[in-house]
Amino acid sequence: MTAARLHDGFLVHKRFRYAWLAVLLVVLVAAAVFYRDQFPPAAADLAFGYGLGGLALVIMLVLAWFGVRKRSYARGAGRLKGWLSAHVYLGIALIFLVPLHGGFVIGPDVHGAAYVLVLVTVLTGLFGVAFYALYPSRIAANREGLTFDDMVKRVAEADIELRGLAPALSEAANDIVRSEAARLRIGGGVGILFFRPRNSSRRAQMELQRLALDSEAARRAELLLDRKAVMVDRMQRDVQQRSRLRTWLLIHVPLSLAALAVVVAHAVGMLVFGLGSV
Amino acid sequence: MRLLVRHRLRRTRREGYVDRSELLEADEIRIGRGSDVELHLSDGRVLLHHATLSIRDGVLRVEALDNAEIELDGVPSRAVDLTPGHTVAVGPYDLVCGDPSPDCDAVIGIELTRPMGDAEQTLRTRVRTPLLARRRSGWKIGGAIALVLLLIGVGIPLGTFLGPADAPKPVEQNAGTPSNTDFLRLAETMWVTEGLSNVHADLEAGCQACHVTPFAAVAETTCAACHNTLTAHVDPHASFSANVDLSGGCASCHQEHKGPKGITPGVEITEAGCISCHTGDIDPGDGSDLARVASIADHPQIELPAAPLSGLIFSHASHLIPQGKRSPDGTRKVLGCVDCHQSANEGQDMTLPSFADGCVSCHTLTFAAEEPDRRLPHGSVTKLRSFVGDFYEAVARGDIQAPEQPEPPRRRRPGQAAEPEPIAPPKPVPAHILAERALSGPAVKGQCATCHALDEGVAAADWSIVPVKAVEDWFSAARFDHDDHKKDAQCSTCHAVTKSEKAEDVSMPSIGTCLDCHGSAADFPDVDSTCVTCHSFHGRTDQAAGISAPAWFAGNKPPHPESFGELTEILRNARF
Repeated sequence: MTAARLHDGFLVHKRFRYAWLAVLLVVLVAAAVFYRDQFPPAAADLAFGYGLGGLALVIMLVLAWFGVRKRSYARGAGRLKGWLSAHVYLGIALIFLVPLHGGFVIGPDVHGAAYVLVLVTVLTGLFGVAFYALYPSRIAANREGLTFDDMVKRVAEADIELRGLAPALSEAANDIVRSEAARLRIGGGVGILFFRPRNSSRRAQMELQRLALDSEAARRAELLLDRKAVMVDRMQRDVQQRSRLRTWLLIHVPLSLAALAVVVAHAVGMLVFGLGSV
Repeated sequence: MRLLVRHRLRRTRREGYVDRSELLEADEIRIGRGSDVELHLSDGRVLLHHATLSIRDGVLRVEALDNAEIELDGVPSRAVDLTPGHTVAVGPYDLVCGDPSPDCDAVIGIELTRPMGDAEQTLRTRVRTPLLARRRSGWKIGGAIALVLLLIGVGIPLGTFLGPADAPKPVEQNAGTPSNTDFLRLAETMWVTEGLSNVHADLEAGCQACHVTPFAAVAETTCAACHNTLTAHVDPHASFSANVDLSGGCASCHQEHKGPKGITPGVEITEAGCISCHTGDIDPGDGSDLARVASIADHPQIELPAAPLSGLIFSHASHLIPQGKRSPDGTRKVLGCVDCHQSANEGQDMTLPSFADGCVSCHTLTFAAEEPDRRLPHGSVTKLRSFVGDFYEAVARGDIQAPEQPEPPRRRRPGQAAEPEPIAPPKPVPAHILAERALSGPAVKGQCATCHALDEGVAAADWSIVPVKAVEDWFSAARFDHDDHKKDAQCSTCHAVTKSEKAEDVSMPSIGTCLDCHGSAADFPDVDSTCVTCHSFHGRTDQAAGISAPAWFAGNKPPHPESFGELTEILRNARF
């Protein structure tokens, strides 16, 4: 008897149930498309154009509904993890369903724009999958049981002690310590998504080391700076990881709305010029 | 000097102050952060040795050391003479000179007026994480963009239905009228997937030319509004084989929005498409045969109309002799096909030569010695008779003078006198006798009989011309364009007339001649030959229609229906 797993992630949820579903869907549709010649032309156009297009639109609406389901904590059908699993795999399937429905015609017009938007949305979603699969454990490992607030407090403690050391430090050492305190910045703007800025505490510590002072105060200051550097490093990494997790969604959600809008416009265009004529 | 120092320390609970006083005695009192100074200030912004206090001439003097900073009223100085009531800034401290006291030289108060602030609070102000903010803005931005895109996306296609609601006009080049033309062109660029066909690309009404009603497919009647001279190939209500599905009307074969040349049907009208019905298995139900054609290479023999008795005596062979025919001016003229047959109908057909166009250049029809240049009229025997009669009457009246003839040389019989006897002038013959002689003799009748079969009457002069009959339209069920073949073939490729001696000879080519160049695309890839190259799928109401022209179409004027609907009604009842 196999032991039940304590936790299975959203990607492996229920033994990849939704992955198999998506693969099955794409394979069925692709097979139907390759056997399209068997159908009389008008019926085929109706089934593949409008039928598949309707299916793809329904899938898109279900994908978009995930955003709503995510926030309805109290009630909602099915587990949220299942919803996320379905969301990811159906989204990937959509990349293939759309060209199959459109006969692989993607041109520089509204219809092509609709597909491009859907594609970009799904690609940003894949980024999200990577982030959500990799980052939570990394964040936890980085924090080592501390909260961000804890880290701020520890840095502040080091700061207070460094202030107190000022009378015992030489002028040069004091300058280093004071300029480090003035320069320290944690976090950042959009750049933090891609790279972490230089650790000023680490630099100050090394400068102090180079002075090779002998006083106890200087050694204590070096130690405090080292602690600060480690803590600041952790904080920067934490901010970067969490920013990536959040910002990705700041891109994914508006993109998905734009994709929905253009897809609806494309559908209206396809209908308004004659249902049944393709 | 004796210096009383009052350290003002703030209490945090209320705004009250606590003073701590100390009395310093030294010649020079140094202020700084270091442990060896007299007046110790522990803030890190104070240098180890920051300044010196001294009394000069009873006045308290503050001097800055090295690169320390002291400021009086915001102005940096190196030395300040401090009088009671005035303040000098030493780093983050304010040093105020107090009122002198009897037991010391000077009194000063020191207060840390610019503390560094709470470490944690300061640190928090330096932590910037804008990207971890609430996500509500994401929905707002996304929603706004989506709304705009939706309005544009739905507005433009629906907008193409706004505009002048006229019936779709026939093909009219876009005259560049402003108003909604640019909008239509924009809409077309945005919405049309594979491009409009070349022929429909410049319609003035734009999308509205065909898409008349929103949410409705383009109806067959819309096509017929412009293409109103076509007939249908088959009765649309017949239930034939489903291989070619004609239930979609025009759209079964003609699909718009498939690119510049997409409107031309594809496989439906290639050889394979036509053969799918013309397999010989279909019974049209009215007893006629639907021609069976297995492939173009198996095309049945051309059925030519029977050539009637033409009434002409004409030999192509004799006219086409290589050394040429003698012409009236004495020279020999080599004749070619184009000397008599010209192209007509915009190059499609070749004319049957008429006398006036071709023959008359050599067959001048002069007949009388009395007036060698006068020609007989051609075309009507009645006119001929009256013409000849009038001519000889004119001769008898003396209106027409015979040209002067030179005296013939006189001959003398042996033994006769040299002086000849006068020759008596001949008795004048009456005009009508002359006319009759001409009409029954070689001068007139003989000339006519050269080319025409004559219908003899009782008298020799009583004849008429057998009416000339010729076939006008050899290929009534197909279209042959002579101009299209000019580049690749000569007349003799298809018409073998060099040995033809009779006008009744039929020199039309057989299907074998056509199949020398036309066939399946696989065999003859360079030649454009599908079934519709020669046979039209859609007939025209003013010509023989379709493949097998029914009796009431060929030769008779068909009814002219007012609309495509009416025509469809007619065709529905007439099966062909």
